[in-house]
Amino acid sequence: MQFIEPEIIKYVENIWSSTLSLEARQTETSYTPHEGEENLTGCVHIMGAWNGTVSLQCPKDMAVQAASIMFGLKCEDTEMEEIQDALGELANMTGGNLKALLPEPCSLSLPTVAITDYNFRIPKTELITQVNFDCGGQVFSVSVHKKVDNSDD
Amino acid sequence: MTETTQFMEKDVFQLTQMIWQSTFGQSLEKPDNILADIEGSEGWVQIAGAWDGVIRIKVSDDQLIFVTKTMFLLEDDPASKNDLQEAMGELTNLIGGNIKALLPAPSQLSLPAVDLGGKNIDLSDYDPILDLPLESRDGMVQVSIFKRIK
Repeated sequence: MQFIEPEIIKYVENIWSSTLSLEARQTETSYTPHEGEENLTGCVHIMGAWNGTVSLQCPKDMAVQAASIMFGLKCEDTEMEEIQDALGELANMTGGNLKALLPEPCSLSLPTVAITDYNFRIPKTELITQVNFDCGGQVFSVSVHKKVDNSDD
Repeated sequence: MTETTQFMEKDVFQLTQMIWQSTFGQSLEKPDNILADIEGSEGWVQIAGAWDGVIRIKVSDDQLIFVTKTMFLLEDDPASKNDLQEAMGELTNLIGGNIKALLPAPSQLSLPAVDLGGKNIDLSDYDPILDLPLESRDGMVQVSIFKRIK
């Protein structure tokens, strides 16, 4: 069992259900974006007694679907700003819930969202948890990176 | 540009020049022509506390290769993707950490996040308050500061 894996599963299922009215279920299928594909990563940093990052990686199509539901638009009418806002909000909700499980005091950053060709990375950290989810046949993942202890800042 | 931004511009320029000279042995200057956002890779750190915002660093591809090879003493060895990501993170942390010292305290610096070949992170919740394009003989560096919209 990975660090706070059951809580991640519970929170993601709840957030997807309550915010998007979609069913997200843990899957053994790994989210493996391919080089050159357009993918989005939304992340929030946690700073304080515990330092690390909670990130949500998904294919662009899934982020478009989330944005269309959140903003009440057709998928083809969603703009990139809305897509990024939607993913940022999902990352913020996920990270905000997980922050409550971590040592206090901690602060949560605003979410940042990057459109990436799978070249996104959080240096100076180790991946401590990665959980994959299936939502209507689309796979996405939630990752927790913890700052490495030998970092000097 | 506000007075605060002018103050930040002078100080950010000086500290970025100092970092470049001491770490990479090169001088950085303001380019003669004002350019749009440079093409290349980006890294960013967030600052939270008495001042909330984002410091974003962008570098051109040539510049990132130079920075990586110098930082990791690669000389004739090629820089791997992992090397480039590590160097981009170190550079972002270095410049972001120094800029943090110019901003109201207390505040905390997040871990750096990097995206090679990045297409610009979404910073719609922030106001751009400083954009400082700089160049050395190996390419471009762009230091940008965004303040959280209250």
